[in-house]
Amino acid sequence: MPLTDEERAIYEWQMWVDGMGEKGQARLRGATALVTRVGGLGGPLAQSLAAAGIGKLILAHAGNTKPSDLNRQILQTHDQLGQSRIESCRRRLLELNPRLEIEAIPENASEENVASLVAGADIVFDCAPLFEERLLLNRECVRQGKPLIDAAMFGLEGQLTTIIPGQTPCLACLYPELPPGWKRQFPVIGAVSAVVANLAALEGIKLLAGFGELLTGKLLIYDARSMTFRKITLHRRPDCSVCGKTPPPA
Amino acid sequence: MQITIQLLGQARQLSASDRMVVEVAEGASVDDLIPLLLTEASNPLRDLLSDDSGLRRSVMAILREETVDPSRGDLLQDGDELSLLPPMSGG
Repeated sequence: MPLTDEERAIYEWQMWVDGMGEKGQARLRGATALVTRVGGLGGPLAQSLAAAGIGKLILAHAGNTKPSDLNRQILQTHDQLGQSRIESCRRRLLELNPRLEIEAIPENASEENVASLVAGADIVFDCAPLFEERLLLNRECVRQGKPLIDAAMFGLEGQLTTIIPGQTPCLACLYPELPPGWKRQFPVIGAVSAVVANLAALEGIKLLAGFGELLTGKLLIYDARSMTFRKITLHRRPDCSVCGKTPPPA
Repeated sequence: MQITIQLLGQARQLSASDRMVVEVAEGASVDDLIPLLLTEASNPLRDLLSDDSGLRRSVMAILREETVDPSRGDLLQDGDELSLLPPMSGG
């Protein structure tokens, strides 16, 4: 379906970007992305996808807004303290893009819901603060053959990779065992989360719209202390318990 | 040979310095560096990076902008920098 006059007006400057055009914009509009969770990373990431004109977002995040969320979770507002975090996400995103279809689920990814969460999406953005959730999403994306953008940060550093099941290393290739000692709370400045989140959003936009070079088989490492980036080559583990026997995508 | 070990992420927070320079013999491998690092490390850093069998499998060892498996015995070159990146899941 061609873009409407309203869409052409809104995305006019975006379609001038080399590789985007009306074709790429229409692809974005036809796509569904799962973002979980929707906090310091997932919030700005979802916001950038909404601004870029993605068709549908599936947002999954349990719980209510806490004071310590407000230094980075930009889809929350002060008057939301104590109320449903995911409802604030829905409201704020629709204020930006009322054409956006949103499925807002007040749950974190779990064994009970991960299959249905991933099944509804063309692409998955993994923004969870716990390795159990990340590895669960990874396992399900590999099983369903869905691309996964994995973004993470700690303090003044961040990292990002694009996982294509059967083609690139999966997250279990990088973390073959559940890392001990990772704490749910971590040092964070919102601006660092937002940088990593927007890099992840760009990866997704490029993948969906069909232009640019992706971080497939690469880990982008960002250091805000020195303002440097590194691009590290990753390798699949032939004995990976999750993707070791997964064939390349058709 | 002079080799630099760089600590990233959580490891950086648990060390007085994010870099240490060590002298190793010609022919040394990545696997030879790890005990040198752990000897000087605090207990929390040692727990983060290692287990009974050496460097934890979930800690990325990065040499010449590529992840390496220390047990593979990749040989070091003078001036190399080995970065160690523990798992990161801030979201």
